[in-house]
Amino acid sequence: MFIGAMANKTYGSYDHEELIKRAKHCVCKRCGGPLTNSLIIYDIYGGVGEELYCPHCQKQEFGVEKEIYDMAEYYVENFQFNYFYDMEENDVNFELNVAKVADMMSWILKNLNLLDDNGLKDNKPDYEYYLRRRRKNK
Amino acid sequence: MNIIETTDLSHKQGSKYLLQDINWQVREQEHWVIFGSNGCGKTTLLSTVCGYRAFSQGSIKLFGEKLTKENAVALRSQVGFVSASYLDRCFHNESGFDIVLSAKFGGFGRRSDITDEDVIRARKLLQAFGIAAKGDYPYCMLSQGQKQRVLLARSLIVAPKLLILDEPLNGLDIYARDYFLNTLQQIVAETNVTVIYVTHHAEEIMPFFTKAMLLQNGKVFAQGDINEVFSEETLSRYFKHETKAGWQGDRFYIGIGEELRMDSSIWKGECL
Repeated sequence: MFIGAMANKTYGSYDHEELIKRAKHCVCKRCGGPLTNSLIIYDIYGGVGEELYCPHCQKQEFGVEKEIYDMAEYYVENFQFNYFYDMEENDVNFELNVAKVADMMSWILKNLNLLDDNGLKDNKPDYEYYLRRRRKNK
Repeated sequence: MNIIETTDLSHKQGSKYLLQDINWQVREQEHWVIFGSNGCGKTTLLSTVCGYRAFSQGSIKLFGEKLTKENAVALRSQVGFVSASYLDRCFHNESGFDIVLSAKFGGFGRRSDITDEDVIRARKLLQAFGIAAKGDYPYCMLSQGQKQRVLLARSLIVAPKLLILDEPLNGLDIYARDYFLNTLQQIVAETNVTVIYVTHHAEEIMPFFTKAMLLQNGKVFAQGDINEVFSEETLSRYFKHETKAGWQGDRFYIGIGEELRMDSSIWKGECL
């Protein structure tokens, strides 16, 4: 797999602008590093796609808000959170746990109407919003 | 409506044709088996048809729409695609869960936010394929069989119109193989899906497959009704050896009639 810089054109991506916007305000949920909007060449025969990408972790990554990542990292580090109990305790284990907590926090904040595609909002937590979403989804 | 239609499809790499003059039509709910030796172009054909690979000549229509760079992502999101030989190059550090969800967006990553329903469906699929406990592990940390289960789950995250299964049972144990084949049979019976199935193992060919294609060196050797393509005569010509083929109950078998083995002087070192 080859990762190239994204030229100013789309490669079959109908949400090119959305990806650029997200890369600006989100970080990798595993390492906290910046995301890039990358042109990914999957094979030498011409497979190509545009994805959000973490160059440090070398993975396609949708990302989380930086604030959420920081809190998740603090939580895992200090509260000894370990979802991956059957995995050797090392850097990968730590990063996967941060990602897991960041996912959970994002879900909670989204459901309290404190987070959307544009990032964190300065609303008050809205529990009614969550209940409305649940009712709608049932 | 034709689900897939290729016209004079060719792809040349350097001086070598990986695919040459492929004219192929797959109608709705027609289930195909693609058969061929290693390196004959099966994966290349299927990943090209899905819009994951470029091609140098000809045209492809998917669901009646001409495949272009602009619509490939949207069309792909209606295709369930399992191909370890292709997708293993695309995924490395991504989690199984994210890989499953990526199919929803027609690419290899997540492109927008996901709903609770997406998460629940992805988790249930991972659980159904016996990989729930490893769902958040990076792909590269999974065994071959576990990777295959992730890819199978990925192919079903959106109810696909077209299911392309490139050697889907590689690396799976006997239980998982039967589990998947029976699930596939049920999917075919209860939905309008069209299945394209690549295998080297004739016993995976289920009775619902009605069409077959034999590929050789990037060209179509034979295509049509399964009983004609998989006749002993055609297969004998294909393998250049007398070949036995037929149904045993609801499973197909293909076997080379004569005993093939390496010249013993090679492994004995006598040829040196």
